[in-house]
Amino acid sequence: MSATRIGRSIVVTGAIETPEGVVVEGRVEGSIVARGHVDVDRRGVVRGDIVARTLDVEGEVEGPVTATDRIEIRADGTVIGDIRAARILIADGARFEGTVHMDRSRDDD
Amino acid sequence: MGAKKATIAASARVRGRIAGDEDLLVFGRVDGEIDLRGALDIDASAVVKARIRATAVRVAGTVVGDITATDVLHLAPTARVIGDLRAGRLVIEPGARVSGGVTVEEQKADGPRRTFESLSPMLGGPRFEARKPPPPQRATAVRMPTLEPEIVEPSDPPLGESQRPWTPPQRGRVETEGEIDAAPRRPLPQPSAVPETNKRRVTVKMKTRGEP
Repeated sequence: MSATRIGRSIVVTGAIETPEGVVVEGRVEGSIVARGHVDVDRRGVVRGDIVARTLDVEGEVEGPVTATDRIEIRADGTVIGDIRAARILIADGARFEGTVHMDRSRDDD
Repeated sequence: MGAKKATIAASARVRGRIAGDEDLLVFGRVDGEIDLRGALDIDASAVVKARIRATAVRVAGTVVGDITATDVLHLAPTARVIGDLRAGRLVIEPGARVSGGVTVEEQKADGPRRTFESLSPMLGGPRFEARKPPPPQRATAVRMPTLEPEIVEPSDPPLGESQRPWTPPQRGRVETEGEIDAAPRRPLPQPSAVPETNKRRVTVKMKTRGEP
């Protein structure tokens, strides 16, 4: 089944909810609530909060992000906002402004 | 997975507006608005409550809201639509259910379109852009208001499509028929509303100018 993909020229103004994952190559002005993996692509921009199981940011996120499992900010990624997850990876070169909350109790291994 | 098209998955729900310049596949739910310069495919599993505008639209699922397709609108046998349909071309397959008004005529696309312009007000269709004045006729050195019809002789070698001076088709028709009271039921999409009594005078003026 096709996964949710916000293509490069797509702008979503509003909320996205899914029990699966989302790939953001375009722009989301609003919240993303997913129970799967959220991928903010190199060209992706999210202005709003993100809740996911795992989150990869190669693009730009402005807003608080929460993951039940893991958040990774890649080298080209930008996150402006507080991040909360059991495991947090911030690559060398990534841009991050905000606070970090590591919630170990949610770690499932 | 297969095609890397923009997709709203079957389990996903978007509340708000989706806009873009590419194709979009909807398997899930969208509440709000979709405005696309591209093909929109609403799968049989999809439920869309939105005002939809796209270049081409295929509906196999459920739509509550008006749909405008500047090119083709295709309703598959499983389509369930409540809302008005507007499209340049319309295909309704047997089995599809529709409740709403239907307008099939050339929709205003990105580029200037003149086709059906004169008919549009009578058909009660959507408004087209206001009539443009004829393009300047390459009369580079004409500063004096002397009448020199030779400059724009129609027997000239054919100009490019874009350079050809445009004559409003409707006026031409009114002249040949000699009918003045063929007034459209709706006012023409002119920038300023001309009083009903003045219309006659304007048309006659065009006639005398067109045939000196």
